[in-house]
Amino acid sequence: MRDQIVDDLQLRIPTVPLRLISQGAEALIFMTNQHPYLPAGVNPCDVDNPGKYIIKYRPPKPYRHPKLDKRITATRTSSEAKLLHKLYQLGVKAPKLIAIDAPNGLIWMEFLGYQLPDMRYSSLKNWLWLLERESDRDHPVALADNVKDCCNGIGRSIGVLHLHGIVHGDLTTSNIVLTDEATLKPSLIDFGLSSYSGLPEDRAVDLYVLERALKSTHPVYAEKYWEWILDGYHDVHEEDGKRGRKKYSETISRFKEVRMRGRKRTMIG
Amino acid sequence: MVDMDAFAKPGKPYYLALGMEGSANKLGVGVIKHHLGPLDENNRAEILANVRSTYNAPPGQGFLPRDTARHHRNWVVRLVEKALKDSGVKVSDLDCLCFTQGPGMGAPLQSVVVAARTLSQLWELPLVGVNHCIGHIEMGREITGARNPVVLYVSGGNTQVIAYSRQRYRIFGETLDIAIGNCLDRFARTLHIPNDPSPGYNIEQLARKGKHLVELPYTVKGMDLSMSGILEYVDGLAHDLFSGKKSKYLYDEEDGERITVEDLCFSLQENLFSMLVEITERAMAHVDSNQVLIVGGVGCNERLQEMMGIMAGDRNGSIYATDERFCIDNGIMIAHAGLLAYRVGYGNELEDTVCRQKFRTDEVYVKWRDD
Amino acid sequence: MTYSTLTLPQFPHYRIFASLYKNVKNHRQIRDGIRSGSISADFDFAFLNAANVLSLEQIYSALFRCFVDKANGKMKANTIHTELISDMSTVKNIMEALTKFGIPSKGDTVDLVVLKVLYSGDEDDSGDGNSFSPDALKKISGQLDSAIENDGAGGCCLTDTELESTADLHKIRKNYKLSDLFSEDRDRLNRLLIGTIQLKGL
Repeated sequence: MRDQIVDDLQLRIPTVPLRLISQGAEALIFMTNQHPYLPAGVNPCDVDNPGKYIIKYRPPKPYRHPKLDKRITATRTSSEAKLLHKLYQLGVKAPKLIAIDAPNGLIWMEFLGYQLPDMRYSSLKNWLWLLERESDRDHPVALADNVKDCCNGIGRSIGVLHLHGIVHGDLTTSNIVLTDEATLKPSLIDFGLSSYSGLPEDRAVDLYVLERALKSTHPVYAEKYWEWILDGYHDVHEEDGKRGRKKYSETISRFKEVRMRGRKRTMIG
Repeated sequence: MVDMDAFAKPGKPYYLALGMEGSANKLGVGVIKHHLGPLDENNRAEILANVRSTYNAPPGQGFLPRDTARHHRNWVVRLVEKALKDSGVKVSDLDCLCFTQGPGMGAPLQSVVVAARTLSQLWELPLVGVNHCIGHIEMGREITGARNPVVLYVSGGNTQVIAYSRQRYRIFGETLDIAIGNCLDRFARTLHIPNDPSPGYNIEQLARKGKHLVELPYTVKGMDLSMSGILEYVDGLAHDLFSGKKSKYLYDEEDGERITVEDLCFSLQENLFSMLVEITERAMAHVDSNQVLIVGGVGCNERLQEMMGIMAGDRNGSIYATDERFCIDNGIMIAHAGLLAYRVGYGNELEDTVCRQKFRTDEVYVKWRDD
Repeated sequence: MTYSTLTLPQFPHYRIFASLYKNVKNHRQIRDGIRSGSISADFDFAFLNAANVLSLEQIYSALFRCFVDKANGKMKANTIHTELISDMSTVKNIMEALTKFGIPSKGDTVDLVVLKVLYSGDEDDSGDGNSFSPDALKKISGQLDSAIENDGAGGCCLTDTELESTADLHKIRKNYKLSDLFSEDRDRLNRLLIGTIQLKGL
């Protein structure tokens, strides 16, 4: 079935070389070297990696009524693209929007990240795993200052998102990438489940999901990482002034509640 | 490997349990038999009795806790007698008495707990309180043979996507407001269609005749879903339809025909079930499973099964569903899940048998599984 | 060379004639001619006020948007050239888009970006004979040179460097309704425009 979906897409855009890099329940992620509208040799301005682009494809879901399917695909695709552009406007590091074909469920965006020394992709997960493997009692490189700075930066990014009433919806260490080998500047990716929300509950769940992900993928140092992320999250709210401080305390107190009950609301009955 | 026989009676090669369910408008009593050793395809649980009585409210009304509890009290003795008779089991041969401890409606739950406590003292049998959802899941696994499925639990009171991980059935996604069965039941009330055999079944029959898809809100929020807004919207459409309004949205945009009650049922189902399948698929991708088990009363719906089947097929997986004997609340599932718990040492002292309306699926430590 | 041809990797069967005419004097006449229909039917182009054009990438982005909408049967305008002008703009109303992004009515001289969508031989589904060929390009260029008065300078090749001299950042700020988002940084501004073009009407 997956092959069928890839073939169908390839038929739709025959001149674009596609390499499938991941598949979720809702979308397939492809990498390509072909810009959707700029010919070879003309580089788009202001992208991190000219010549590398991401195509996110939401294939039709045959279980859904075709009319409903079209509607959902188009709305999801366009709201994700809008969000990417919104983030650019806000100055939040995220993949830049390049193009969109909403009825066909396609978004082109900038590729972010680089190759780590162990040849893996520079997701936060892979980077931390690499450092954790190199860590020992005398040299815990996974707890070095650059990790601290990076975690602070992640906390800040999430904070800015939340300050602007946006929740990511799926924060994991795979959905955070390092975009630059020298500066280690982090970026959030995959905004497929993101939404606008003013509720402390939604922000708290965002944080909780990430804390859970850290604990399960990086059990040894998770506590430290999390502390640093929260520091950055706190600072960016503090800098926002009174409104930010209020929002921060609302979110954190709700976060503690969510942590107690484990994400889920009490049952309805 | 979990030792399932540490609490077996010496010299007895099997276990027998009687289960009582009454968390909503069905009262069910079942008797189950397990042979020694872990259950597998060669050692299946045996269903010796499974009887049920349903309380149906008049059309246009929902069942009230008080009336439902009265129904349960009126029927419990007769059903227990019938189940024992059907099974041919002697009370002295039973190992334990299982009852639904929650979640559910307070008064009906209590009426069954009282009966269970009484029988336990009368017959000197240990009590095992069972989580209703776990009952559905374990019975579904046993009947269908699905080993580690993602479970979609859809009933009048529950809408959850559940996946097993590290000895808990974890809730992956769920409704943020009303349950799917409740949503369908309430729409049936708006339409004044009978509650017999069940409002959901009658909606399903009407939906088969629908042909226009009416646009309704689609409210999946991450892994959760919300249904109250959809119900309110479709209720509004139904009222406008009945009151003879001529507004544009009451006509199909393609062929211009006036939409019908059947169209509304069809659209409501298509919309709600798409949402369910979507979050189920997300859970399957998350835990890397390609099996889905549908349990709960709404799980009998053939369109839901069909849609889920298409999704699972696309993932090279399969769907497991049971028929109405097991999908709809029953006593046998309580007996089965209770017996599994009993075999690894669970049991409730009398003072721990208070029913819990908000008993969560993920509170139960699943000691009988270790995968 | 007085014109360029643009191609989009994803739509190889389109060839786009592109040229920049600076200091055009008879813009009102052309505009009125097109509006009243007194100009011959084969005088079919997308004329853009160059003041609103920051970069080639912006034009490519609008072309892509236009071709995607055409492929999906979602074109709003009757002709591909009107659609293209509309796709460069932020406004839904096509007449308003033409006023703000098409040939301007004010000014003694204006700079115009001229685009014409052609089809590579076999794929000519337009029915209007806009097939691509070197001769066709020459003919188009000649047609424009004779219709547009700019002291005999004719068209020039559409490049980012040229566009830099004709773009009017204040106009861009106003016409793209950027207000506080506006940035003097051309790269940032460019991305803001591209995002706007891609997301228009969604």
